[in-house]
Amino acid sequence: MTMKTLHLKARPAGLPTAEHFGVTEAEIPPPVAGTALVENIYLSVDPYMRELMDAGWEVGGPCDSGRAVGRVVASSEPSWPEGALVSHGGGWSTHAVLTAGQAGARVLREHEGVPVSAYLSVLGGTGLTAYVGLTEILRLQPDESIFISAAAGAVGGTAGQIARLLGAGQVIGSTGSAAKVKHVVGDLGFDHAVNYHDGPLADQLHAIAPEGVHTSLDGVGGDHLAAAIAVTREFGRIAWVGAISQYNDAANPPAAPRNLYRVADYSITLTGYQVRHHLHLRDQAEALLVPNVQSGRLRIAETIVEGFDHVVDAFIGVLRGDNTGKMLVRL
Amino acid sequence: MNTVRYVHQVRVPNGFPTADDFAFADGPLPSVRPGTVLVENIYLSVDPYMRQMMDGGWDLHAPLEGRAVGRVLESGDPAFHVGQFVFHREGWRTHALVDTADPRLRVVEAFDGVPLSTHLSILGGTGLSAYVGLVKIAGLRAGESVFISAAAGGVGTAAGQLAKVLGAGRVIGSAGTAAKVRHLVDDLGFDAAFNYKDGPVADQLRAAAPDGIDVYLDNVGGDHLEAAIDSLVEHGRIAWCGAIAQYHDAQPPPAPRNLFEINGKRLRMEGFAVREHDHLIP
Repeated sequence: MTMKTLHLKARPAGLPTAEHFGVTEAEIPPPVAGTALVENIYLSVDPYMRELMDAGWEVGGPCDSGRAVGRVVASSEPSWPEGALVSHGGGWSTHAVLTAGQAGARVLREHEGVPVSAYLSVLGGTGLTAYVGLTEILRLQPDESIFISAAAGAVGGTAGQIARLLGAGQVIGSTGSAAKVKHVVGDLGFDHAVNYHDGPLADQLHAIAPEGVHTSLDGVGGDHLAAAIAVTREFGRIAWVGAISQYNDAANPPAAPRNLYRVADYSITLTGYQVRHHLHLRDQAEALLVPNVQSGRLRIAETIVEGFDHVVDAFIGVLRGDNTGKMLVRL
Repeated sequence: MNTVRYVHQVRVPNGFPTADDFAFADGPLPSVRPGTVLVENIYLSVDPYMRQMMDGGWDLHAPLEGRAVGRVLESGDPAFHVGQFVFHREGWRTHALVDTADPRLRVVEAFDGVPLSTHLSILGGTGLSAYVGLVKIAGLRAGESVFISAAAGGVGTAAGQLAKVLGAGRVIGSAGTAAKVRHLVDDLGFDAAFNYKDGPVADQLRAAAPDGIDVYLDNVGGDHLEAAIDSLVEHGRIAWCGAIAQYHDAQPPPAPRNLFEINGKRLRMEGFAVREHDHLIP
């Protein structure tokens, strides 16, 4: 039996292509005492991986960091029992070998009525990122309004729904196509969504929320962060979770928002965060999210690409915004 | 002594303001009505934020707003009596008739050994701004290092000294002349200071704070903010109070190019007000 692993062939300038990756196929290593072999079921492809292509993944080396969910198929390590569903950070490979106490890996509690893919989306880092942003960073209060950029994306779409669960007031999203606007409002229950191609984002948001919003969650940066700054009202809060707009050209970040001074003038708080520093909130998040997934109140928005051979296509797709919700590859 | 001299703004400047943007205007000394006090102003505050007011916040050919401390000459309200010192906001004039219903009017104490002017500086808005910025917004803890821009200004001088009182580690300031830099280190107890005209702010700050900074008290924005973001350590905090660098330009400068470090280093940037905001809200 063999396993396939993607490796990085070259560092890209701009949007990556298939040329930047290669596949290696190797025999699955024989079982070693104290290890477990995992057959991956779903691989996560995420915008932040574009940053790993610049620094993090080595040229010539495997794309060996990235979330995956799989099942233990052979084990001599009691903490990874055979048959267990596990989440780990082993990256773009068909299989993974876990050792005792492996960092970033855990046995998943399987919940009835929750699909396996959900452990990489709403119950994975994506959902936790949204939850942490709303609760720990923004401390969203009932009836407070929120603007969420990349609202059809994995984090944004989940954040809008969680905001609703937390009793938010007006929930407004921005996204990049009419179909996504429809999805965000129709499927995910946002009050309003705008297509940023339809006109200046800040103007569109002001038309919907003339008095501004209490909070914003931005995962895009650039013009979207500027719009968040423009529409956040006095004493409002902005959580900055990512900057997909600049990952493809990190050496030349966009001129940061010209309206940044508004942060000072309107006593706004802008806080950056990364979910990996808030993993202790996972149980708290699951307590809210699992029952709402089971009841169907929380929609799992996913775009699933079939087959290991299409990991790179899926990754480039997520950078282009082809996905709605979480982009996953099913093996 | 029965006239009042006012400063009026007579036109909106383009860039740095000049004396021609202002004019004196004289008027009769107003008479006290019930519910007012007549105040002879002693100190007037002139502040950077006023440059922003000149862009439309102030009416032309009209008395201007500003902090002032003065002595009550006549009182039409039993809560105030003649001879008391008061703080109020009818600045830029020799005398003011102040409505006693104005919540910003308050009696100030004449502490022994404390000059009256301090009610407009260390005991006034600037001292309070420094305190709020360091303590409430930035949450400065003992041993943490602080960088203060416009450090020789009102808020900056108060903040640098206050940071030391609060037990800060290294306190670094930037200013615009060699004399001010010397003043910061020799007179005010800053650990290090530099002249931002001597070279890139980021390079000078890195040299002055090789281990990075925990807190940045920003009065300036622009390249100072960019330098601070560069030098801040993880979980660093930026308390951002106004933006002098931008007051003279209709077009604000491009914000820091390294802004995304706010995410990378999990920084918190929080704006706070040195003034009331009601003038600014459109």
